[in-house]
Amino acid sequence: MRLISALILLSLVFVSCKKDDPTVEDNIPLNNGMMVLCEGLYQQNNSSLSFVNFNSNQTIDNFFLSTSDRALGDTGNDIKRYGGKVYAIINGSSTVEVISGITGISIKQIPMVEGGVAKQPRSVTFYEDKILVSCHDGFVDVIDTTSLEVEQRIQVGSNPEGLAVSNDMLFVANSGGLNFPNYDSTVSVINLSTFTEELKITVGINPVGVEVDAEGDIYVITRGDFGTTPSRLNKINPTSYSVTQFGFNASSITPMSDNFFLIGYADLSTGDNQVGLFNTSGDVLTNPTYIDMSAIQTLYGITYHPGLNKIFISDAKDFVTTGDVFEFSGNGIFENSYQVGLNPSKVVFYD
Amino acid sequence: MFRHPFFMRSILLISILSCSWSFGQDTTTRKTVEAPLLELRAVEVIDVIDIRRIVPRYSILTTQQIQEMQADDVGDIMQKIQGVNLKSYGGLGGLKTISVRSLGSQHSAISVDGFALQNSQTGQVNLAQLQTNNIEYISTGVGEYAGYLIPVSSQIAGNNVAVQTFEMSRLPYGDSLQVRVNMRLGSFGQISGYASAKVKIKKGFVSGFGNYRTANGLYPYEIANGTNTEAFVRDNNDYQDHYYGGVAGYEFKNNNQVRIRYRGSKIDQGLPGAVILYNNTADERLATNDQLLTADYRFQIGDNLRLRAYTNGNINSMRYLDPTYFNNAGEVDVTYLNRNLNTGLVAEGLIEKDGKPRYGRAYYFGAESGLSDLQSSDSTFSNPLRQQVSAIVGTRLDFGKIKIRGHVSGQYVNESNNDDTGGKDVIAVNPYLSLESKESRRYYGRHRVWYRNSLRVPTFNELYYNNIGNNELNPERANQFGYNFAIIPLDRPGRLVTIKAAGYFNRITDKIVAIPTQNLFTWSIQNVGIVNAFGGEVSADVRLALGKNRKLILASMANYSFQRSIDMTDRNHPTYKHQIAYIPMHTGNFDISLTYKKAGGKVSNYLISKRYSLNQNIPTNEIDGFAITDFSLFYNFEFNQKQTLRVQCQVKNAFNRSYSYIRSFIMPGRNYLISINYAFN
Repeated sequence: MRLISALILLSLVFVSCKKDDPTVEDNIPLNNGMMVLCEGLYQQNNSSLSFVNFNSNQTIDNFFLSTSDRALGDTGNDIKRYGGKVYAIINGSSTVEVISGITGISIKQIPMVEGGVAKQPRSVTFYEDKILVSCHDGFVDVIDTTSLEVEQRIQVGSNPEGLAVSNDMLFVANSGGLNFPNYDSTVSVINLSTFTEELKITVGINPVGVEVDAEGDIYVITRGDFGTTPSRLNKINPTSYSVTQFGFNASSITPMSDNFFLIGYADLSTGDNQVGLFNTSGDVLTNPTYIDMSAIQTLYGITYHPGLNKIFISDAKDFVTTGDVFEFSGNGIFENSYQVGLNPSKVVFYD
Repeated sequence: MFRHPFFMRSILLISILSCSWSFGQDTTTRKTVEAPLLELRAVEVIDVIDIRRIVPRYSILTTQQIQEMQADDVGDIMQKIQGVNLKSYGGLGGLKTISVRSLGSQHSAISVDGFALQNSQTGQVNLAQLQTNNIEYISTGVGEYAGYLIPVSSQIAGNNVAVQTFEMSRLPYGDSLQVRVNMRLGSFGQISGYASAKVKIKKGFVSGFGNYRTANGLYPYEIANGTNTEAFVRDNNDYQDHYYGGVAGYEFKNNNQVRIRYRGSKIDQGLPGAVILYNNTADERLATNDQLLTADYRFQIGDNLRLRAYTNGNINSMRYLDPTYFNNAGEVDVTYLNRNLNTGLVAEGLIEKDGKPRYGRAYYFGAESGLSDLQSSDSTFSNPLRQQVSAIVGTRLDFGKIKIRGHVSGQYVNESNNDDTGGKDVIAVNPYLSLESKESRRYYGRHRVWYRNSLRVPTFNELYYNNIGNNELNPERANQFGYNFAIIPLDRPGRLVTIKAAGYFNRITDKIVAIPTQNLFTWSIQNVGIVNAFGGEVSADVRLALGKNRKLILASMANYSFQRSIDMTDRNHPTYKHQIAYIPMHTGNFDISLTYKKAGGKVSNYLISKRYSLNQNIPTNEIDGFAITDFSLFYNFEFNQKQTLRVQCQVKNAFNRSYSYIRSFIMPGRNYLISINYAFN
């Protein structure tokens, strides 16, 4: 009996010693991996970054907390890489977190507060040496990439969300989401040589996402009213500013390659998730079910890695439990999945 | 009149015993005094021998205990009771609700002076707005009624809490005037004053009362961020309230009594919201105006049937203001008007045979109708109207070795609103059964097993609010199985020990929860949850009168609650069998006080284990457990037999712990409170 007990004890010692938990130090400088923005939940201060190492297939949750010795904040909303830096937009905390594109360690936190009121930043894009951040208070902030200071504010429509640059013009989706049920339906066009709004283009109810294709055409997602008006993809002609709306469901848009977008659609009320392939050359949804979504509960983010030719789909599950990121080949074939933090959405890569 | 204190106590005790015992044995001399009051008075007179029959059926906190706590409000008091879990969002007047044995706050019926507090908009009472300076006792009934002839809505709720105030209680026999004055001065700009006078006029009485309370709420707090701790001051947390009113009562022959009360209150408060890292910019406000009119008539038909007719109407208006909301108006300014009217009749009588009451056999019944609506300036709110009828019929039968108590209740709820999207009608029948052992004469203990089936209907907010409400909701249902044991193992002059233990199993189905249905910001209310909760509680109250003259009083109260509350909704879900959010597995209290003649001190400790902010039991969702200690010193000046003045000083959170009940709602650090209580009897 004693021998059995000793053997069990010994085996337990070996089992407990065997496991190699991933450490932050082992992964710095970061390479061959992805940083996943996990939004967390509003008022829980639990937005986080999960780093997935493709070599080891291991995930380090709360990577930012580990490396920067402080929390990312409350409700992250966007993350993008530009040059050697990564910019995370933290909506609830009203900050822009500037992170090293090599180590993942914080370089600077930019407070986004104006006159004692939180500006609530939402999305980010870039133009030359400027970082352009849409803020829910109805402005786009212009931040210098070197000084990392807010230089200027450009007034746009109500509750701007996604934004993208085409032909030296910035296109900003004015959602008006806080005017529910009276949403906004415009896209602001800002001249980036003068940093002023030149006009507003009416697209459809509740515009949220903006992307630009290789020809400079602007594509806008209008989310509708979650009722009678459906969520749609719209195209703005970059010269005439004429608008075309497509007749299929679309709630997100992700550039895949020069001529293709991945079109996501998620309806939580029905549990319907789809990712389709859209050809911008002919403006045709060539395959509405490009990816098998049967394993995904809640489509919450799509990111394409051109170098690896892989598609990464974030699954937020039920929004109150930790999520997964699924890895697919460029052809839409499932390859792997990674468990990450709460409400994963956007991804940046560390090659 | 002969007023020797001991004689008066004995008279009181005889009255207590006869009345309290009568609830179990059904004598024909029953008075209309509330049962909990009887039990607590019995416990207070610990130097009287014949106290052994009072084995408590429910948890009671007395005037003295409440005064010693110097609690800001009833919420702080309730966490002293085993099985009760407090949710506090912090600050004076900030939202405080209770969950009893894992049942949500909407399952608890809170009544004040025998009238249920109502709020059909939220379905819950903010206990932070029930102040303590006028309270004579609080009793909590879980599987038992916390009072006598309480409203039907309280009898059929999952559990019930009864608060008795000074203003509406009858004057003690022989007294013609009672006055209470209370003043408080505390940290964070807290100043409050309360005054009430009660005058006997022939066979009636009138009382008037008023209260004012203010605080700037600027309390310092600390928050951990990484390995560092950062210090801040809670902002936009100011609070002002006042209430006022009057009571008139008249006693007819046969102890028939009518009472009527008006109470008005106004509250203006800042809403600090959650502590958001790197963003300290709260500026929302809430103004509340409440008008309450209650009346009841207790009367007797024949010798053996006591009845109480009651009506209770209140108008609650709220104005919520967010002056920096990013919509086109640049603000949110919404008003809500919630009106409730409840009218009912409850009765309890003795079963008769050949015109004589049968010993230990009684019946009770009651019916109540309710009407409530909600009007709002928010155009997306569809102004709902609720009509509700409930009824109960039950019996108590004493078979000697076993006592049976049981009832069946029925509810009908009709919902409608302006745009014909009213919620579902509710028709429900709910049983209750209790089996109680005969009280042992050897150790003065009592066993009881019980089952209660109850429900709580969805609130107006859950049914109709904006795009979150869901008019397809069903009521949330609860099945409670409980075992209680109470014993007084030591009961002799100057010594009293009461021990209570309980075990339970609760199953909650159709649990109403908010879940996201469009994105992170668009949630909806759904019936999706199934929860199994089981646990146990044990408490010990010790009161010792020490020394030759028994002038040194040592009193201690200790309790421990274990709660395992697990999600049983979906076995394939990551939270299956995980502990439900914000339900601690362990809570405990240990209070000890020492009083010598007129002076005394108290140490109060509250402990709570870690909890989870979401149902998934992972480290990132953990909220640290905490232990909070308060110290207080008091002195009672007695000018004569009629006047007393009590001065009390207290250090709350003496060890300056940083803690929170709710994630991101951090509570105050060390703070101080001085109170002065004057009483004229």
